[in-house]
Amino acid sequence: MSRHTNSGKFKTPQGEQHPHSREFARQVASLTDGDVRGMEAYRGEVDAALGRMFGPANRSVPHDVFHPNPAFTSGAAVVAEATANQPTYYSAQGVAHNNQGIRYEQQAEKVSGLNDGSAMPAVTEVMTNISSANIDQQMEASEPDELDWKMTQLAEAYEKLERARENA
Amino acid sequence: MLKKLFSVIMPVDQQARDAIIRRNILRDCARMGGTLFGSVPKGNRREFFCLDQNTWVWHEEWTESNGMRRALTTRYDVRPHGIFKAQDGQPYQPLTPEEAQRLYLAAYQYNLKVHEKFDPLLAAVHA
Repeated sequence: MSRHTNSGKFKTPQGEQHPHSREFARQVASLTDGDVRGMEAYRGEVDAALGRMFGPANRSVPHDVFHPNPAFTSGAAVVAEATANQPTYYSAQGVAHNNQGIRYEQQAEKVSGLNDGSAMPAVTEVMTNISSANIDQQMEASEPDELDWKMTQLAEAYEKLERARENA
Repeated sequence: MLKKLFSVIMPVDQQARDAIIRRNILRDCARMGGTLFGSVPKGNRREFFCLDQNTWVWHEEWTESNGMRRALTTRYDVRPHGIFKAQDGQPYQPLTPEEAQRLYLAAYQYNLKVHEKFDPLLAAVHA
């Protein structure tokens, strides 16, 4: 059942919109069941992803010295500065950070020099092709078959990645 | 022709519709993620998003002084033994602690923004 037509279009409310505004009500009314499922699923994925970063899955951050991506470093530094003014962030996550910080050091030697990206180039190549930055162009320029093909390629690349992980 | 166009806009298959919705969500959130790092220089394009539970993606496009357009996609894989990154087909490399820390901050802020976007809508839908 849909609250409206299944347009496949997705728009999130802008920050300035009031939850009781007419625009907000319009957006809620226009959401399809698929939109709701998609939002719930993605929100859950992001929660899980964050949990993996702050949880047991990432107790060991490698300690090798590599040159980080300058774009990321310069941009993220802004976030770091902005976040530094939010003590609640550190109080909420500080324990995990501290605990993990200790573990990073403990695990550093095990990870040092590890490079098991055998299946990764394929994934990265496909990722580049369908990365969000290109989605507009993909949606406009690609035939559905081509998109399906790319999604298939991505799925296959992930399967390779999973097999590589299992065999590692 | 009209039928073909209609099928592109509104695929009958639920799985295809869900895929389009997910892609739109990713696209929207990627733009949002790109704003987490401050203002983007004019002509640049920056996107940052969570691809799945194990993967974060940074995409940057810019124009060099010689007018050449450049793009760089960085993929961060969160694995049981650490976070690894790959850039445009290069082999994966482990992160430095500094970069990992910045990635944590970015991911944390991204998560907050996603909740800011979705929670009111979903709460209203389920009310």
